[in-house]
Amino acid sequence: MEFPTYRYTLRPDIIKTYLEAVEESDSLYTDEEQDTQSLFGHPVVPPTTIAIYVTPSRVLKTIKNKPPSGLIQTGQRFEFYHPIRIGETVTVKASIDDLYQKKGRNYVVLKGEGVNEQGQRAAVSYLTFIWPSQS
Amino acid sequence: MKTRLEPDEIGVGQELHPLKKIITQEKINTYVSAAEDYNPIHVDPEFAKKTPFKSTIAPGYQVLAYLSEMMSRDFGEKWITGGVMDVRLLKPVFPGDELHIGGRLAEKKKEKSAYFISFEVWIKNQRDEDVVVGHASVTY
Repeated sequence: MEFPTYRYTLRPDIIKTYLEAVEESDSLYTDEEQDTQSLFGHPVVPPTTIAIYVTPSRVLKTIKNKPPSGLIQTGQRFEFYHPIRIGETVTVKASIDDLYQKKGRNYVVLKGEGVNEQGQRAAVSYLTFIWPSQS
Repeated sequence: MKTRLEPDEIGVGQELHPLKKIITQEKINTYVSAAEDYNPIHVDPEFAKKTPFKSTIAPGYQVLAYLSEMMSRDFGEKWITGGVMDVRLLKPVFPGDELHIGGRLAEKKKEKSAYFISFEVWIKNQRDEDVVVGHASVTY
């Protein structure tokens, strides 16, 4: 099952809040000085910000039968390929990669892929979570 | 430019310099604000009391960012252009938990001109319980 493609802008204020929350201060993400910056030539977003633009709530908002509150994440795979500049708008493609049952629980693997403004695949996320039971 | 690790500088069995993080509800709230993902299990104590956890818990993604911090600290641009993290989340992380983030080189090989290095990675809480376990690798 594939979800409608959507776009998300990694605004500087969002990245600033994200960096504060995860206590990340690497110069890759913060250094504006030209003489010290990374090989990319400009600050980039932490690759794990794919966790901001590919979330179940963003992806699943397009479907009718939304899950109840309380998704529990049990597994995660990230693949990182290309940088995303702070302020860039990524295009997100998402799909259900797998569904399975284990010990009476329903597991979902949600795949999300972010493409940067250069058309490069920046990062891929495979989120495994338990679909909450209706109570 | 920040100095990163080179493949020749690290051998199988060697551990990365660990990180330590203290989780607070304030940090959780800040993360949720950035992610705009208002799952009540993270931010609503009254809702959380009625769950099996009896408390709010940190978003898994927030905790996994610490592993990425360790890898980008040591591998810089290479982590962003060739990193893979594959982990299982075993236990919830609560406000007040002290997390210890670590990694040990499990495999290192060179094929043609490309290096592949793979680490066992973990996050443990203050009770020395595994919270997250898995692997993180870099190809370059």
